[in-house]
Amino acid sequence: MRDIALVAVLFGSLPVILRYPYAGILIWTWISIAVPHMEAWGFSRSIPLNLIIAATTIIAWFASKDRKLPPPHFIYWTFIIFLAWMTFNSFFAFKPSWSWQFWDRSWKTIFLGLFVAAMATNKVRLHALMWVIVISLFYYGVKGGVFTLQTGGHYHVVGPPSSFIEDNNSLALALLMVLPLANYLRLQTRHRWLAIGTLFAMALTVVSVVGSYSRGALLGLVAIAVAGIFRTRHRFLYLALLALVAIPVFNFMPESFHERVQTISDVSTDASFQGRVDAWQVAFYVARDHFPLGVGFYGPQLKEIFNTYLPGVTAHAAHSIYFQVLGEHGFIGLIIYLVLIAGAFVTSARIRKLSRGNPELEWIYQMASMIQISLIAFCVGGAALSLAYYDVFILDVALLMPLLTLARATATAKKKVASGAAASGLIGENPLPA
Amino acid sequence: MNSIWYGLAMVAIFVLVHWFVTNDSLPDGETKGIFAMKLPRAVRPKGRPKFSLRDTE
Repeated sequence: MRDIALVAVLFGSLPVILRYPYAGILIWTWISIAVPHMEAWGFSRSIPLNLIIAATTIIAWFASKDRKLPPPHFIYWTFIIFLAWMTFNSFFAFKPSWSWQFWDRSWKTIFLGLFVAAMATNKVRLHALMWVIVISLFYYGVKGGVFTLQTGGHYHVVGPPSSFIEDNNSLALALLMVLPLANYLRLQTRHRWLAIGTLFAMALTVVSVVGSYSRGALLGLVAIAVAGIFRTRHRFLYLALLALVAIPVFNFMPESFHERVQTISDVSTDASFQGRVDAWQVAFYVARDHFPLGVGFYGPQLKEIFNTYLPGVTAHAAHSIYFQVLGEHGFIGLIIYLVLIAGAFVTSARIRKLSRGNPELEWIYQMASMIQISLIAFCVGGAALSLAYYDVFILDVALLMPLLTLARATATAKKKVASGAAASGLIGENPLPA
Repeated sequence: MNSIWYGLAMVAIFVLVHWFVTNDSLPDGETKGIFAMKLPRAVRPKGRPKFSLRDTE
């Protein structure tokens, strides 16, 4: 039933996409993040829905008057260089047939980000994209929160199969990243009941993050809670709300959860943490021995490589976005990746500076602030998870390009008006005769 | 219950796409409908001014 509904709705949307290419971007983003076909459990899994939507969008975009290139920003060039380096590196992968399939997924994600950067030319488009990201992940966040409450927190919340967010840790990090974006929408939406509904969904998503039993995500949760203190004007209200959600949730969780949390402070005896350290060591040795290249997408976790460095140890995924890129794409790949992250933080700070104190740009200021917190969650939570090329991270970074362009354009226009008024004597002295 | 939630998520996405289609052509900064954004503080319509004794001056 779900399959029929999904396929019918998606194929029915094709004429709309041909008329409005950006509608295709919204649906493409939904399929990439929410992977609805994996939740349909039937024939829709075997249909390349994402490809059909993406191809239709690209055809419509070519034929439309939409902007064809993203703003020529530093982030745009860093994306291009990163993609070029990953592609070049994949030719020298340890097991090319294994690595190319992951390259195939990653280049599409980066291209989606670049399309967004090119086509998100106004407030409505940026706002709509934010909603798509939030709805896509709240589908899992709210469901996971309700599941945790129903089962007393005794079971782990996991994501959809065959997706970036399949395991509990990855899903929890994705949900963490969406919380600040949802908060932006809550602040900006005009309808009070929608804002209240969003706040309620955010609370359930926090329950879902806790119900995932992911320790990395818990650290990320603390990071965004702290970052939020510096980004809010109503600090006492914020802290009170935080306590109102956090204290009951932590008290609600069973003993097994508290035991797991306690292992954060005692990492030396924790097997799971030791597995991560092993994976990080392998990533470093691989990058050192294959300098300047890496061993390709998801190469270091292959038994043949992992056991060359650590014989007899079970092979692990990198369990860190930084070590993942280091092992897969070498030191150069890691440098480009870090430059991309740093560029995103610098750009968001620049947008905030440009739009601060300007009522017309309040939404841009809030969006840049919330994207920054989302990136903080990614950088902190991602330190212990393999989610380096995750869609929401790529979209967060890509959205900063059009946002900066809009902030600059509005700030410049305002300056021109002000300087024009000053030149004509309307500002600074009384223009009226005495 | 799961299927209802799945259906609701799908409906939400298509309401959003419809909202985008109807709002994209509006003048920049103007939004209407379910996902409408707040107006900037500067252009927000203000309520009727409160009575003050100064009004009689």
